[in-house]
Amino acid sequence: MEDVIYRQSTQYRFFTFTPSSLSSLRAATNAHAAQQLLLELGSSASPELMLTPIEELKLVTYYLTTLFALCDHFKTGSAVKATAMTFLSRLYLRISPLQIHPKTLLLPILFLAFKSETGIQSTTWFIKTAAEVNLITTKEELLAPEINIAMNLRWSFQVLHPYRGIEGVKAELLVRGELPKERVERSCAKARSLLTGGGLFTDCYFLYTPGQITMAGLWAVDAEMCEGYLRSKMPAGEEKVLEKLLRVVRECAQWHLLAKTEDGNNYPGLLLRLPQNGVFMDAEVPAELKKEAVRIDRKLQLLRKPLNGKVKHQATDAAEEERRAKKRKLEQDKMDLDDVFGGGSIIPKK
Amino acid sequence: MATPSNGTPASTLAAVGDAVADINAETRDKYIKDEKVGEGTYAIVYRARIKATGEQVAIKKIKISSQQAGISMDSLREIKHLQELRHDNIVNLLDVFVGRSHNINAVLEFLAGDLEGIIKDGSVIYGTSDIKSWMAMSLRGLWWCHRNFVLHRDIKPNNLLYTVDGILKIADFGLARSFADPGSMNMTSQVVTRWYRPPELLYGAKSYSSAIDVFSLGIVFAELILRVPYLPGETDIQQMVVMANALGTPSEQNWPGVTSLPDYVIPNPDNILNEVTIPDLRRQFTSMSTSGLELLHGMIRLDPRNRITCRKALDSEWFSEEPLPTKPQDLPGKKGKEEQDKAGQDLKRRAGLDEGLGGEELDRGKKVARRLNFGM
Repeated sequence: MEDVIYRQSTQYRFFTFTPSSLSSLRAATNAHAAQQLLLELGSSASPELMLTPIEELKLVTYYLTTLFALCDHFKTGSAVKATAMTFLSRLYLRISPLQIHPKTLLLPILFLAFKSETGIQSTTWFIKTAAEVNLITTKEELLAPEINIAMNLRWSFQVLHPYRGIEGVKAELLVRGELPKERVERSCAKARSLLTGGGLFTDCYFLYTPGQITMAGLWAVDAEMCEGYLRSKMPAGEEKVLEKLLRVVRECAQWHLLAKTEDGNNYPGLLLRLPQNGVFMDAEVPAELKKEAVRIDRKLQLLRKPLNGKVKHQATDAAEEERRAKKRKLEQDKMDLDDVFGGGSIIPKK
Repeated sequence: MATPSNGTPASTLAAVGDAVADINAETRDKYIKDEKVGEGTYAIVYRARIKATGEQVAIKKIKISSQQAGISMDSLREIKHLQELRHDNIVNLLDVFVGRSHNINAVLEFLAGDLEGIIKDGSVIYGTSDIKSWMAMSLRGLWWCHRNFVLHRDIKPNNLLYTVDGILKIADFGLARSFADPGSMNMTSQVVTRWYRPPELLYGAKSYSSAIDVFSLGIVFAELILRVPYLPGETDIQQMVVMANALGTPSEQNWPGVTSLPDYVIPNPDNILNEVTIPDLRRQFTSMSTSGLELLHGMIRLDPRNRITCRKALDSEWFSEEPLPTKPQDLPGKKGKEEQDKAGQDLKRRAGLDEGLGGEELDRGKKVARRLNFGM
């Protein structure tokens, strides 16, 4: 039954891949966007200046950390946060930072995630909260990209989040009472924070079912408890099914959730978000990786510079004036938007 | 499954980058819009055809351009949930595309009428077998919603539609929401059309469950039997009185905890009644068998915790005892293909100011179309 529901879901139909199909899609998106940009730039362009697919992946993942911090600032709760993170990851499967810079989409994506998960639709509150961390936007700038985001998300707003499954496992283990209560509660809490934290930076959602990721989250923090639980759920005589399931769960945990820079790469040559590929995987970005992201960002800015004059501005004059006025005010306060986005923390110092 | 993009490997076939705009244009060009069949505050509904096959569909075009206002909550909810819910008894969303002026268009399967139309149309005669069939199909569709953690939040006769083949479809998910995150304590109680609104929402509950939809469907069940609205309150306050007089006065005794709900009052202090029992219901619903009354009673219990679930309701003996449910294609109220084409022609003639007959058909067509609208 779970399987039927999952197979009907847009998550399965539009956003589930094999490692190699995910990698090819990313490569194709990059190649297409680079080609298009070269055409736009004309003679001034040089193909070597383009972002490579792995640079794109690093940049988008970097902006996931920004979005993550933004969610904390908005006190979104897990559902909105996990959905916003997934929206951003999904969007950049078929669009490239060469086309739309991720930073311009963070607020609209977060707002859409709020709408979809909670029904909250007050732009006033949202704009005010964003301004607290020096992100200046107008109602129009927030709402105008929505339809494009929706189109690129293939009109799929529901995200099946694996962290939700933890509660069920916890309740069941507590009722059974075979393991000490403290252990069950501690391990489940750790698994939940993994799945609502670092797990959101991995490619797990694209490669595994929500149930598999839930179990991998548990495995990552308490392998014994997880495997014991899975064994107890499997009817006798289904050893082969169990072994297969355990293999998938261990793989998801070891190769993704727990992956380390120094680990061997199990997906050689594939464009996947893995620390082995130099893609940062957590809310806390190490300094040298932050520097790398800033470098890629500068490269992208330089690359697109000749086009800046040509870009059609969709915002009306009034909205643009409003935005500029706000920006001027901020600059008086010695706040620099680009610097905020260029790699520093988006949360202001207290 | 009619959605062409439904095939499993869709993600690997997906186009790249700005080709999304091409997909949108292709989707748009797949359909031919025929005449407008209804218009509401938020949407216009067109009868349309799939170019390649000629198959009829309905296109619901949201009036507000999303360019400035973003996606309206109604369309966001409807698209979000219908994209995931695929079931025989839930209206099928075939496609979504953006029109040339940035309006969202939802392509839905074409539906022939709704239960409100049947209940109100005195010329339609129906009986227990037919009610059983409609109830079974409604419960199955609703069960699937709940199984997918979706609350419909606006179950009423005109949101229960049927195809030309008589298959009932739950439609209009503009108020739906997911309840996948347990313990959500901040849900709005301003949902469900008043006459079908359950007592916990009348009392302003901020946390509620799938039992709200079961109650609404229970009230539809009663209305199908009586052929008049069962609890027609004229205001929200009056709705509580009507409800309490029919189903009993909510109290700590029949509903532990009810007095701590935000808007709790004793609606009928001069006429305090015990919760309605099956023998009480028998006096009002004389044609119903005991198992039918048990089912009705289970659906309209005051305390949501006492209400039956859709799954349990489907196990009711009422569905397996004589007379058995009518086969969908034999249900009254449906329109055959030919009749429907006629209705279509009538509509066209009216549009051309032909004063011929068929006005009744026209009105009905309009009504059906209106039911497809968002937020009417």
